[in-house]
Amino acid sequence: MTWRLPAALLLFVGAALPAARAAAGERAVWGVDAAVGYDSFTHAYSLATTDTSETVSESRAVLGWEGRSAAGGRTSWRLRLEGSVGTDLWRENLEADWRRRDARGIERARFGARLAGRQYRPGTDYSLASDQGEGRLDAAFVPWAGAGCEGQMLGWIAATRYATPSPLEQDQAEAGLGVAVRSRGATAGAWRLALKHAARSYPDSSVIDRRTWSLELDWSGRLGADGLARLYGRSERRLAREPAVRPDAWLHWLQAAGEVPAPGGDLLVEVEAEGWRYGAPSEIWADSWRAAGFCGLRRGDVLAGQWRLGLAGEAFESARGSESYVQAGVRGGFEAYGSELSGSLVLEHGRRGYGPADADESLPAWTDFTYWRLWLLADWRLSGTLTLSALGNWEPERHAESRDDVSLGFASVSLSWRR
Amino acid sequence: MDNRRDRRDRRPAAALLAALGVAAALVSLAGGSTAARAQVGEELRAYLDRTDELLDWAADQVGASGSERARGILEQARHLQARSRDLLARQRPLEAFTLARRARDAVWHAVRISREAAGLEERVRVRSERFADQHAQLLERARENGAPRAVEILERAREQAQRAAERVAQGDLQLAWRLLEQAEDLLRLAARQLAEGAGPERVARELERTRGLVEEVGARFEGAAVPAEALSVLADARDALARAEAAAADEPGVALQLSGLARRLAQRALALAGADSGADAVTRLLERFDARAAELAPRLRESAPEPAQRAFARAREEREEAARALADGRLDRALRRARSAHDLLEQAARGLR
Repeated sequence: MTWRLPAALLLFVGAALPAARAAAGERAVWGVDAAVGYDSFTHAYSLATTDTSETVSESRAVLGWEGRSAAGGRTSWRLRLEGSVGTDLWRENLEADWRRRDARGIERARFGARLAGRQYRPGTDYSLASDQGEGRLDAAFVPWAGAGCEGQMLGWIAATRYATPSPLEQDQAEAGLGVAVRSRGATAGAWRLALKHAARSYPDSSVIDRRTWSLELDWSGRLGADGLARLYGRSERRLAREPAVRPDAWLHWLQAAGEVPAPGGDLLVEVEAEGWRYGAPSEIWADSWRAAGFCGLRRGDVLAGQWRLGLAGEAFESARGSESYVQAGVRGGFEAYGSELSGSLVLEHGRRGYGPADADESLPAWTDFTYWRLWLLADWRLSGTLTLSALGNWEPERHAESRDDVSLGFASVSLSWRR
Repeated sequence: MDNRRDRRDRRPAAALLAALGVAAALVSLAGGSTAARAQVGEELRAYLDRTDELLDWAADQVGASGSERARGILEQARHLQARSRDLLARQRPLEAFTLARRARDAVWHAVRISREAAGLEERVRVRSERFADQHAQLLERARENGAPRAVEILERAREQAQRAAERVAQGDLQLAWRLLEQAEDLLRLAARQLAEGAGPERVARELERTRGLVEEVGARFEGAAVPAEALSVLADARDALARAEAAAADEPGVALQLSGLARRLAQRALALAGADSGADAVTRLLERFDARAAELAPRLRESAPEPAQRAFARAREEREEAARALADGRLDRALRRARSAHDLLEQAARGLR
């Protein structure tokens, strides 16, 4: 297993590259990039009097190679090959994309491929360490196109394979088909409506096989004279092969965001709502809904420096009443994107309060807490080809009793060279 | 007030009372009789038996959740419970009770994580699909619009989503969820940069626009009887433009501010000279737009990619909006729309290259 995927990737590239070069002629654009970096993930919590911190850290070096057709042609393609060696893992990725437009500029056909391989090194800190390979092929066709909208047919297949499957590392395969209608041309707002059907199977655990039907609506456009708005809605029906093991379910998901000019800046409003309804609710699969939002003001120019400040809130209501909560916080941030130094820093502080506890003492208690959320992104362009990047987040929860405290964190620093 | 204690005080707290009973008995154990020791042993065994039941109950929940972290913590709970029984067998009830309580806490923690993870597994899947769709669309737009900074941000978003996928593979769903949220934040940032043209490439366009205005004002003043104050303000505008050009490479934000200052000064010079009005400026912008659009239109009709055609059509819409605002006397809005029309037109022109 460890050698199959890298070999397959090399064979694929060997076969595809001459064809891509020939198709692209002299108009193709090729580039290479390399990076060295360090990632660290940590989860800290307490078990009675003992503090427990689980940290996985990894250093790695990445080499990438990318080619794509020049803009403007009827046929366009992109190919990216990436390999990395880390202290815990070897990774290989291949991404390919091919599109064909007709004389009217309508994209009639599109194919995409993605292959990824992971091989764990001996002595890795990761608890699940089975080598794995995964792949996905996508296709989309536009059989009909009118003046303002076009019809689209979609299809995909995907698979994941593990060298040593386990209950949490299960081989799986998926196939799906869909139809969509979307806007095209010069419309004031862009929209898309899609209906998809997918089937997923787990060869080693067929009781959790399932099929899904989903309906999606995506719209973006103007809000008033100078505002912008975006709306995304999705309803999905999951039908399980064995509902007693994994129940049928409905998911409804809505995202909406808008911004309008206001005295002193732009007024931002973001809302997200999500509801789950199970065919046979149980202790594990309980009906629930969640709503979250942000409302605040943004001011400044992102190049010179831009800040935002506002209120963030979230409410969760579960059939298991003790898990229901209401959360509110203040979120502030600053961002700037200059030629040399760019980045953003977002900080949120708030409190979450849970509903009444379960009557049964032996069940888990969910306790109120205050939290901080820190989110950092920074890029320092050392030269035209060299960039030093940092990315991180830290989310400590402070409960009334310190033994309930939990912290989640992630930090990454890398030096990248791109040519 | 201690929140956790407050919440527990409102319960029947049968198990807690039992634990307190065990603890009280343990405290008196040192000087107790053999009968008392036997009773304490029984109570502690009952406590451990109940913990065994909880461990079995938790195993079902944790097993269905797909959370490797919850499994790990439950394993710790089992280990603590086994050590507790061992200590009890060796007649060390105080230490046995301490470990038994830690085992209970570990069970609690594992169940909490597994319950959060049970919902997260599906949520991460749905969100990952959405991310992949959006990422592909934005990457295509960024490449076709020639926005390298947006492409870089999208690359960071892809890396972050990959990290999230690896955390999912490790059964660490909470952290995967957070990483995916950050990847989405990066997508929104890239989308905003594409919508606003907020990358450093925008500086070049702003400077070009300012240069055009300053040169145009200078041309109008040539050979005309212009007040000295207007000439002086125009000189200040030229100076601000020169400083903006000098700052463009290293300090794009400063360059943008100076560029805006240069434009305001040029317009003030015009006002002082009484030679122009905002309406004239909009009219000239629209004339320049029409000339440039007429030049591009044949090439766009022939074989331009769809994004370029879309930008061209949007530019025409903005131009019409500007004309309508001008007719209504809303000059600020007309000027904004006219500039936006020019920006979109240049975007369409770049798509032709």
